[in-house]
Amino acid sequence: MNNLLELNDIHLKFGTNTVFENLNLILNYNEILVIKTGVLDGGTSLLKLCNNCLTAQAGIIYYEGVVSNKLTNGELFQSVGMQFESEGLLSMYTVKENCKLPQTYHTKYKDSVINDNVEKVAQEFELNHLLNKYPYQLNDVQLRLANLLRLLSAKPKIILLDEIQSGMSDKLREGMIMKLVKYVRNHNMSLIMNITAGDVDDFSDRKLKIENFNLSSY
Amino acid sequence: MALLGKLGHTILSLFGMLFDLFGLLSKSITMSLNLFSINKFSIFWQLFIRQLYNTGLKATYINTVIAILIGVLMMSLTYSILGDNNRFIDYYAKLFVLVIIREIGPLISGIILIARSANAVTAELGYLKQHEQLEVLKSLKISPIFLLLLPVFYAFPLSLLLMFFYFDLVCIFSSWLLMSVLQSDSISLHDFLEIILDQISLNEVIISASKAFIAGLFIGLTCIYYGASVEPKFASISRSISTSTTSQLIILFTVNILLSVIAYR
Repeated sequence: MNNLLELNDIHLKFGTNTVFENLNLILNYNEILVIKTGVLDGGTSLLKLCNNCLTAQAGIIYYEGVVSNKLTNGELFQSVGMQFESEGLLSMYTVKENCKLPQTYHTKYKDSVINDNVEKVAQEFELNHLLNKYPYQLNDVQLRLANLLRLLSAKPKIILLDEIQSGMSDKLREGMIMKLVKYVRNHNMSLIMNITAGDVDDFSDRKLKIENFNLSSY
Repeated sequence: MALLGKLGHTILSLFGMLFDLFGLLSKSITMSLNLFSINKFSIFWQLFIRQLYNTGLKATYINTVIAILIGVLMMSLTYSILGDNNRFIDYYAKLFVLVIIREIGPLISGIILIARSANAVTAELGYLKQHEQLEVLKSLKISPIFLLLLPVFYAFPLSLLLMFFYFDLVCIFSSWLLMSVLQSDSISLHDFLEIILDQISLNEVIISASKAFIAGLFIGLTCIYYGASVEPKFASISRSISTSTTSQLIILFTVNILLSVIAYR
């Protein structure tokens, strides 16, 4: 059986700065993986590589055994999605419109179905109060949660979360992680979450860290 | 030598821009095939209507003010020269079509489009670019050309055509109003309109529509092009707006004058 996601021998550089060398990563079905990152060590770049929105100098990315460039944008959207650490929402739309946009663009669902998708997740995560707000009305934690709402309502097979725990109070973090893990398990998704100092990781199946331009267990 | 180098660089960048604009044009045409999908069309339609409202409808106020002033100027200048002539209205109608409908109307409407809307679109897109929202679209696998360019691509030519039409109508009305004040035995608005419409040939309608279509299209493409060229630097948006406005004015005047020269030789 193929792996859900496979990064094979990735080399990534920005100018003369090497970010990853011979990077290999496998994500299994229904797996929760955390990656501990430091400052400017390539955590976000790794998620962007997994989301196929960053091109490496060398290496191949497979989604369920298929090379990424053989998949259409619609197929990629069904496979993988990413939450951004900052910004991440389109300023011309409300949170709800931001959540509906990718589903409207990539699927043939009726507007009522898409609306239901968004509202159900918003209710589950108690984020209904954000739906009619514009991005400029949200603080950084709310922006990340709105990003998460858009991602979860689209239900891709792989969800990529970039330092989502940052800035959250212990109570909010605990509640969010509990709901998130339950949601991921219930919908047979796999998750890669970047974490940083002070974030919790005890909910994960596997723990990795970025070290020497590569990933290692910790 | 340095001057020659600078000249060469300017010419090269001008050709580079033109190639990019034609590239965007072909991308827009290809991307238009997506409009056959109901869901994608609904996204497009919402943005298209918003753009049409902002570009065409909200320009009504400034269009009316300028059209009234131009109509009054045209009538008062013509009256000061030909006021005593028995065939004043016939001459005026010919002059009106020649000056306002053929040339001034399209130029003024184009300038209003550039000043009010094209600059706003460049600034909006520059803001999206500086806040990495084009990256967001990339991560969502949504084409920025579909979402940001296509509504402008279709709304600008249509808005410009509506603005031509509206400008000419208000000009006719303000001219007639002044004429009614100046002449004691003035004709009705209906008759005045009929005399002017008699002077407008099918050729004039086609050329005016072509001016709106070509100038609107390229003004739209140019503001998107410069908006997307914004860099994450201070003053980059204002620099893009300034360069974009210069290019759009050159495009507007070139298209208008070229078409007039070719069509009305």
